[in-house]
Amino acid sequence: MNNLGLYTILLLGAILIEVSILALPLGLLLILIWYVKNGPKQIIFLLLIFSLVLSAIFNVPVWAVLATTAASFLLFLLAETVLPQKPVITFGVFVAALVFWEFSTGLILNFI
Amino acid sequence: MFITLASLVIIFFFLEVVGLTNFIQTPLQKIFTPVQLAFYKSGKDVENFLGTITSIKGLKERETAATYENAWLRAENASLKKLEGENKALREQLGAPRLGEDLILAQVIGHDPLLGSSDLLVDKGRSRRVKVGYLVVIKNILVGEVVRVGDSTAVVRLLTDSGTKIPAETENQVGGIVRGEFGNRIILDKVAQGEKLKVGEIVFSSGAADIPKGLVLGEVEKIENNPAEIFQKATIKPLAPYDKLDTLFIINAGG
Repeated sequence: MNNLGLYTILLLGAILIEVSILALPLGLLLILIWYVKNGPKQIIFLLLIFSLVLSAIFNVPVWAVLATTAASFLLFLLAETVLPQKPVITFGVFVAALVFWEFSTGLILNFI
Repeated sequence: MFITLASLVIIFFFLEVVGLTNFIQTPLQKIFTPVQLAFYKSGKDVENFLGTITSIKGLKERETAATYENAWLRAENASLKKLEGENKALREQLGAPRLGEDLILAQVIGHDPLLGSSDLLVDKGRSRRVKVGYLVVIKNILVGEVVRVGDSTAVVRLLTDSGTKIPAETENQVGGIVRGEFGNRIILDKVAQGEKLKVGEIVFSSGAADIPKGLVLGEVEKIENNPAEIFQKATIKPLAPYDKLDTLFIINAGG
């Protein structure tokens, strides 16, 4: 099995943990780590799998999860491009993207 | 990349509008529900294990069992007292729809993936005739309301959610509105100044707003009475510990 296959299984595990044990955006965290390690390759596939599975498990519209996840990812991408490449700043950008996902998803789901 | 993602969001939005996302979501739910149940149970097992080893051996387990038993007994006792006093009124209601006629047993299999939210996921959905607006109870304790339904799962909004607003009354007929706050506490609000609230009193639904009368909402834990304000309020402690919920019943409040 290739890297992407294993990573997808890991991502599914993270989603299950997210809705069963620990309410933290672990799935998005894994996607961001993939981007840092492998670049934009297959990132849309991972974003799509994450949004599809999370929305199916938690009975929310796919487009809503995909919209907030994509927005958080693009925010991360923008910050990574603009800000200097220092470990502390990268960590801050990670946290900002995850917090943004939490807030935006909560907000959009409240309006639906 | 931005254009691709935006296009995907738009495509899925339209698929949602025409109801085609169900074809993807339903099989995914069927696959993941049993796995998720196993994850949830394992998580709870680990949590219990850690709780047990950090406290005196066996104390945690006994305390949990005793908390449940105590909560149910108190709820039952309070209900019986109330029923006794309202015998006449209940007789008149015999013709009205009663609870317990259409109970759907459900297992908790997860919670909201967002921090600070108070939704639970249960393993019964549309295929078991669960609908939005159905109430979720344990015995006669109201836990929440079904807010989203999938084919084989449903999302239950707990009373602690800020969207909760239930007309309520205490054992001593003091009326108010029970509402959730910040997803982690329940408040009895809009209680007129001068009304006597007592710590430990059981709070019931008053029968308005499509919620059947007499469902237990919790007990008064702390009273906040500021004479300068028009209303007094109280913090309500749920009788069923929300973080330990396992088996629930879904009922059709409308009969």
